[in-house]
Amino acid sequence: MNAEHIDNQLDAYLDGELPEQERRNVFEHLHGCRQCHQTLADAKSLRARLANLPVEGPAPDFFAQALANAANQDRQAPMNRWATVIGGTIAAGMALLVVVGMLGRTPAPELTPELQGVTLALHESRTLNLVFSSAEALEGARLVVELPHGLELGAYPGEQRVRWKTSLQAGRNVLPLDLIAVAGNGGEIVAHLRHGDKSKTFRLRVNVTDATSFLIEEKPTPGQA
Amino acid sequence: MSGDPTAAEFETLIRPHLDRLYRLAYRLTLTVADAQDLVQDVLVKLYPRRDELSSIDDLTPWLSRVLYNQFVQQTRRYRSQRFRVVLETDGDPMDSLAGPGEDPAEEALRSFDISEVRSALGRLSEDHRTVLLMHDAEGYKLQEIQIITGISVGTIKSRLHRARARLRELLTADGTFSGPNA
Ligand SMILES: [Zn+2]
Repeated sequence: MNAEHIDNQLDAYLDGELPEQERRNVFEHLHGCRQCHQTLADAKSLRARLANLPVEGPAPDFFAQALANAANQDRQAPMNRWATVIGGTIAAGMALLVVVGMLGRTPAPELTPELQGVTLALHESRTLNLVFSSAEALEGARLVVELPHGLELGAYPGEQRVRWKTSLQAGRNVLPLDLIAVAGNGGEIVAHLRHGDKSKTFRLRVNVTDATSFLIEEKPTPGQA
Repeated sequence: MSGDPTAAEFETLIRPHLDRLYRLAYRLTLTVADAQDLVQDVLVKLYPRRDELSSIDDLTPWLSRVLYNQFVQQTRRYRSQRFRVVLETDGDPMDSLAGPGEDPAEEALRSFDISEVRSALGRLSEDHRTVLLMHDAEGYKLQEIQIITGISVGTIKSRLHRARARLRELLTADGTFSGPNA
């Protein structure tokens, strides 16, 4: 309707930063101009989406632990990260929960055959949460993660094989892996979880293309120590 | 531990601010693990400054600024991860995300939407993303952002403007945002 659209003033308009006269002009323009009206609706919708963007809370004991660590001047080593995340609640819908399997007496949960819509472009990093569901608490479990050529864990650059010694709680245990594609086109990530004489191997297919998918299959290896 | 009066005093000072600090850390780093690292590092730095802390009237902006500075000075330390991806394997996630003709669970759609927004945010420059999340997601006022970041209000405004435009562009390209021509 008007020759001069008001796109450039919409931010200030929505922020309530326009002087009264300008605010009034924008308001009037919006009533007569379909295009700017749509732009305003989009701007509002974007803001609403940002305002609703949830914050995933820290692990339940994190604050207490962080305060204690500060008092001890004892910065947590990266290796303990897992321990701090274990037992943490993941806000619904906000984490990639790849339930890779279960070690213990009860049968493994059904696995998601394929996770769609995940992209890992070259040189991009992503957090992949491995969730280990354990029927019972496991002290002194060992986890080995083997990475294909071109994939690295953020905290362990250049290492194709990373080992953890850890304890699992009964229930869900979340291990965030900071996956970075440095070269190649992906491959299989193999994770071995061992506790006593029980052992399980998990395989994740990671494709480094512009549309990545994670394929997960479980390969129990009975008898392997 | 709690038996230590000094530690208890520190906790009394800091505890009321931890939620807000953590939220800011999460907005800056985008992941729980990195946000926890950032908050932890800040607490370790603050602990020897207990006397100074107790002399400050309004700790909230002061603490936020300390956290922001720690993030900016050592960004690399907290940027190992860009964002998380959404999927919940309790139940079949593919069912809830696909299902044309079905009535998909609103929750599932919302998480999908969130993942798109987060993914687009991950592609913004850090300067843009930081002010955008502080202002539009956390609701900090322009003046508060100025105090925390030391960036002028004019620059914050222009970054906000460009960040929103870029985000809209990214979401439109992904087909998740109905722009004027959609
Ligand atoms: Zn117009």
